[in-house]
Amino acid sequence: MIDLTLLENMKGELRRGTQILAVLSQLARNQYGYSLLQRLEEKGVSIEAGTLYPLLRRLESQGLLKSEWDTTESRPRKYYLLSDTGTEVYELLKEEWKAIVRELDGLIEGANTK
Amino acid sequence: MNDLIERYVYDVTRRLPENTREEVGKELRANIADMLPENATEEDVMNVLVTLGEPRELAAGYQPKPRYLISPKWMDDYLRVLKITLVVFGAIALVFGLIDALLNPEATTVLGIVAEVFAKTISGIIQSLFRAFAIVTVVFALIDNYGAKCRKEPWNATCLPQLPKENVRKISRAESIAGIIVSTIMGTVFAWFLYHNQLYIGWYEDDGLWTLVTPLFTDSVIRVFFPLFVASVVVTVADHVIKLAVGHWNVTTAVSHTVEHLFSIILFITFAKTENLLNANFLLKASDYFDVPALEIAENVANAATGFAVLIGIFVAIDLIATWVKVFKSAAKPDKK
Repeated sequence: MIDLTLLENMKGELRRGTQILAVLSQLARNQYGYSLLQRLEEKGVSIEAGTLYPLLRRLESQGLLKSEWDTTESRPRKYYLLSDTGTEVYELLKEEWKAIVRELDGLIEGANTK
Repeated sequence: MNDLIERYVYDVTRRLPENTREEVGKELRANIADMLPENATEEDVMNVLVTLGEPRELAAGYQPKPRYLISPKWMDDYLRVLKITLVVFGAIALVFGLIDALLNPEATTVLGIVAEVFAKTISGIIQSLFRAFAIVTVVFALIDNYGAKCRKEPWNATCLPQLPKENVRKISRAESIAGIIVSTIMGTVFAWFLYHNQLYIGWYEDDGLWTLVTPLFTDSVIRVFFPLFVASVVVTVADHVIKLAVGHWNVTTAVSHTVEHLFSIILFITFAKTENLLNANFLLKASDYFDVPALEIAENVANAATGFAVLIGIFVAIDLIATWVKVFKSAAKPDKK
């Protein structure tokens, strides 16, 4: 019998590592919290609102994102955009991700052959 | 409905650093507004808030990294030290609680004294355990927070502890703990009776009530010995605590063991051989009762005490020799590779 909670935990763990990359990938153009959430969902990447909003703020305090309040609309919104550092970090993380995919594909496909 | 949102925002932001509260609150309100449909009902608001999750969790998300009082890597050490400290503090509180409560009882009946001693000792132990818990926790929280930052060199293989020697002779923990408890209780009871010897230990006469006619000991002699007996109990308890902490026979435990045994035996022999230990009135009573001259009784008692002391002395000597042989044997054997 598979322990389903254990499986869910492992899946969550695996996905958690990809969240930052997913968020950075969409912020070459500025987005506010909810629009980013929707954009990610449209592309099939679901990330919980309660996870995304604090994450944006953390990335900003780490200097990867810059933000700006837009008060011209009927209600104010906080827009996030990649900073220069953020763009650099994103490129490096992207390379890392591709490397991980290559490595793991190699392992998984090679698992059945000798 | 706005009330719900405000309450939610408040519950999140009150957990955050003060200088970020306003900004986070403003953004959170904007996000919630975005997530709500046009003309939202109270139910819509509730659903959105549930989607965002518990305020406690959301607030934790804003922390740059997980925070701990004691981080997982220190947890094992923390629990181990905590256990030992609780046992030691508990034992000390038990000893001093019992002594204090027995020496200064406020109740006047025996039952009252028993209840009082019991209650005072228990509350003393509980206080002491909380104190131990607080001290250990604060020390570990400080080490965890500041210790790691101050350590100059990164960890390397020379920091590894030595393997425990396989040929050491262990001292059973249960035995040490039992030793602490038993010597505490017996020592305290003994000390109490000794302190009140004039009231309880002596020649009783059966006049229906069993009244004490004359005490066994001379009070002035006991007064001199009393602090020494208390010291002996403390030394015995300390010996067991040291054995519990070290856990096997080595020079430290052997010295502690020797000191404890010598202290006890010398105290006992000195006590037994003291002149005028037995009350003159008691000897007269006994002389009347057994129809033997008082001097002869005193002499017999003294001889019995000497015999007993010699017997115990032999046992202690054998025990000490065996202990030191054990210690030197295990020290002489080379470590197994």
